[in-house]
Amino acid sequence: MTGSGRVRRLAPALGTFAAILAVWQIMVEWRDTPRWLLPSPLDIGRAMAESADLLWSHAGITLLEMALGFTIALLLGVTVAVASHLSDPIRRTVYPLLVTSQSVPVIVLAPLLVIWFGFGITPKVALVVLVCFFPICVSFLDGLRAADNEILLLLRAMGANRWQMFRIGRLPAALPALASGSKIAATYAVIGALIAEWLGASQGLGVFLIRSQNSFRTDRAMAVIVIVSVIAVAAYLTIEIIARLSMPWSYREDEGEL
Amino acid sequence: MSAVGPADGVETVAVTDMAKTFGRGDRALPTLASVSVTAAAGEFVTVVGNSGCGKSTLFNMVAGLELPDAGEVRLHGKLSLGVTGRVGYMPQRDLLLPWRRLLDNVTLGIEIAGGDLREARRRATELLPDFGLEGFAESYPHQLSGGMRQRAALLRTILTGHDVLLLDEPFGALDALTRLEMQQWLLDIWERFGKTILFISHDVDEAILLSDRVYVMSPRPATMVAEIAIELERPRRLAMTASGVFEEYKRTLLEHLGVIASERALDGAADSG
Repeated sequence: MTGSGRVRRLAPALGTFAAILAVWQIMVEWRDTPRWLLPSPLDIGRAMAESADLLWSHAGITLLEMALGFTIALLLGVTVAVASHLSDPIRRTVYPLLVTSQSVPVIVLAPLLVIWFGFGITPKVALVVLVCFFPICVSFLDGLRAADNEILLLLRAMGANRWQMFRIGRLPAALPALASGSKIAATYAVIGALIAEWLGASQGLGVFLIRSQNSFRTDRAMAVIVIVSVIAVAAYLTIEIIARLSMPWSYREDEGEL
Repeated sequence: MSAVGPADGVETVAVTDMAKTFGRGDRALPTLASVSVTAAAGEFVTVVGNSGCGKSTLFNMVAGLELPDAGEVRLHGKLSLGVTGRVGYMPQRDLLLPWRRLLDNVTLGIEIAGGDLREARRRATELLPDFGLEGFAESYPHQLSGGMRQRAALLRTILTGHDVLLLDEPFGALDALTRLEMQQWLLDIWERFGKTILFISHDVDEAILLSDRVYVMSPRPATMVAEIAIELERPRRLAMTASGVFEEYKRTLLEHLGVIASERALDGAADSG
């Protein structure tokens, strides 16, 4: 795909986004809306510039929580998925629990995690692990189970043992599913970290967001929202790029978004 | 070559009185009633039959993927039941691994057998031109055409180093012209490598053009209804398909398959009606 082709494909989305910002700016100025009620895009930009140092340091903490939580969830998710795949008893035990656990809203777990792990980084990482684990584990497990049976049969005809069939025929086939699950998990990670920070923290974008709202600095609060969405998109793209580089075979020339 | 076995009495492949029923009770599906097939060293033997008659089941047993209820498989005289990794097995779909480049796909058999991978890659690279794959060693399967993929699958099968190849309708999914090219090419490869080939087809023309002998399999539960030696000279050429001898073989095979007989029955019904 060429660079100019990509720009052309993204042009409608970018154009619409710019138009919304322009209308927003004009409406706020024309109606003279108070800044604490609805800041204009330029106000938000100014807030970002003026509190750049603060935003950076808080974002650093949030990113650290995300990265730790995501990595742990990835290791756990892959391990549990492989174990569930290899052992029927484990799958029958784990899978229903896994699905049921998703009916518990993360937001009610966060205060409990604070009670158990205190106000440090641990409850935040734990919450990120909780939200990231499910999409990673379930997508990878489904990927492992969806391997092409005829390919596995061919490997067996060649005399492959169980481990070779798993390593050569099944594992690589499940990697695109793992990548999809990881992309979803990466965007959840930001939200998980943010919620955990709201409910008791001294640092992080979630804390900065609450403080800004409490002092009616709506422009700063919205600056945080912008940063959070940039982080979510960046996390998504990071996984996407890693997937493309490591699995060029699953991305044909004419496919793919962004 | 004739239908008579080799001088030492040991066939390269000998399937004797093989029977197989899938499922039990009400759901039992008798697939093979009693099937026998032999192939001598370097022979090209084809099994034709209507789809769903159990041809692939027969191959799965020879490949060791399934166990028969009765009967036996011998390779070079040695009993071989449920033992995989002794023959080169090529199913209808090419089944190249999408995540592997061509060279890593064709050396798969040696990798699984724990052989010398570097030597295998060297040999595979040497053979790429003969398989019309020169310059594609680093390509992924989705970048290859249907014919190229099928040739790659055959190269993979040959590189396993087994002298018996089981080819299960390898050209079934190709367009008619590509299929004709592939048949000629397969004959060249077979003559060059001296492999023993067991071939499955439902295409009578293909069976006659390629084979030394053709077995006709009945619908389920299957038996062998005919065994016909094809005594056309080699090398075979596509032009032979227009000869009278070829037509005669074709008529015989179609009769055994029940196609021509049913046509006569229809004509008879029309005449009397």
